[in-house]
Formats: sequence, C-alpha cells, structure tokens
Amino acid sequence: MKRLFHKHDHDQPCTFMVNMLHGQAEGRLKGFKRLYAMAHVLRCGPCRRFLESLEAMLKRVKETRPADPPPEVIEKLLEGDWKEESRP
Amino acid sequence: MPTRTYAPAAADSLESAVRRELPILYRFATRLTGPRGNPEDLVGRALLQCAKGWDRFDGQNARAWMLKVLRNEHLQEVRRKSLVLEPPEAMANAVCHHMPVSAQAMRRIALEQINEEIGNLPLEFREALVLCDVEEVPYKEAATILDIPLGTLSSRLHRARHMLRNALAETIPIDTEAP
Repeated sequence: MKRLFHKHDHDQPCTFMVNMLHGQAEGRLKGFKRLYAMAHVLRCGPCRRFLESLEAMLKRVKETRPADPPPEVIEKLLEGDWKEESRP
Repeated sequence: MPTRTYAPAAADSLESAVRRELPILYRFATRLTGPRGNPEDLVGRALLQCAKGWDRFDGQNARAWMLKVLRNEHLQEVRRKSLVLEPPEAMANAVCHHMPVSAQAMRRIALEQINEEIGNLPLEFREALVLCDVEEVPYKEAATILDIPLGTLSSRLHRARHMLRNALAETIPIDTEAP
C-alpha cells in the first residue's frame, strides 16, 4: 500500500512500475496486475504521464508499418530462383 | 488496445508458406535494409535459403523460421560487405512552427519522423521494436526469430522504446491526442 500511495520528488516513473507500465501500454496485463497498475497510475503523476506517452507512441509506431509489396513485386518474388531450388 | 492478430498457420508446403508470409517478409526486409537498401533482393536471397533448408524446417512455425532466415541473410550481408549501417540523414526542422500546416500534413510529417527515428535505432533494438511493436509478433516468436532469450528481448524492446521516446521528444510532442 505504501507503494501505491506515495509522492514523487522527480518526474520519472517508479522503477518498480516500469515493466508493468510497458505491459499495460501493450494491453498485455490481466487480472490483479492490471488493477494494480491502473490504481497506481491514478495516484502517481509521473507513472500516469509515462503510460500515456508510451501508449501514444506505440499507437503512432504501429502506423508506420511499411506497405505490403506491390503485386508485381510479389509475382516476381514468387517466381524467383528459390522455386527451382525447391523442386525435387 | 486491440488484441494481437498474429496467428501463425501450420506450414503445408514451401510455396504456400511463401505466399502467406511474403508481405511480412518484405516489410521486415524494408526495415532491415533501410531507405537506401533493396528489400526485394534480400527477400529473394532469403527465399532461396528457405528453399535450400526447407527439409530441415521442423514444421512448427513457418513465419518465425522464414523471418529468422531473412534476418540471418541480412546479418551475413552486413558482415560480408562490412557495411556500416549509416542512419538516414536527419530531417532537420521537419516541423516548421511558423507556417500553417494542416493536421493531415502534420500527421504525415510526424509519421515520417517516427519512421526515420526507428531507422536511426541500432539494429538490435530496431529489430525488436519492429517485430513486436510494428508487426505485433508475440514475444516468444520474436525471441525465436532474433535467437535471444525472452528476458533479453523484453529488455531490448524497453530500451528501444526509451531511445525512440527520447529522440522524438526533441522533435515531435508525443501526447495522447493525434494532431
């Protein structure tokens, strides 16, 4: 409980929370861990800001996924040298 | 956050595996080679290696196996040519605060900047970030592809995010609202 309700004198997330905050940002946390993380960020400004900024960044990072190859490149690759090699 | 959609299918034949996994192989190759590289060439060589080694594939997860072959092919090329992976030139002053810029243009610039900063990350961190955060490959699969323990992957991923946040903090305000 002491860790849940505390005050910071700096603007860094709590060291013991960092892994959990990464998990929460990815949507991986379940059950008690998720509740704990949510309760913690409600009370802890630096962790809340860290989580919000991490979630926003991950959302943007996903949007940078490169485009799939164009159909002509797919066709070219599908008919490449590997096909000869794979023939028995 | 949406649940991960990654679902490796069982491989039936090399050809069907290639057809199914070609898009992710190409996207990963694009990230590995960078903007000046030739992802098509890298994928072509990786497919050749896959064909040569198909009889040694254990049939468990074709996607992870093929991505690993692709990565090894890239690493071999880097070593062979002693390539120095130069980061792309920094896009100086990408966001001009004195000119009116549409929200869409701001968004495009921001994405370009993020792309560029991802490209600037050292290879081992870039690989982890691209596989887990961009392609949404599960940790276990990503660790197999990169041939590292889960703990190392997690640590590299956190470090990569930290580096990216720091790099972007100077140029783009990453806040909760999209521009």
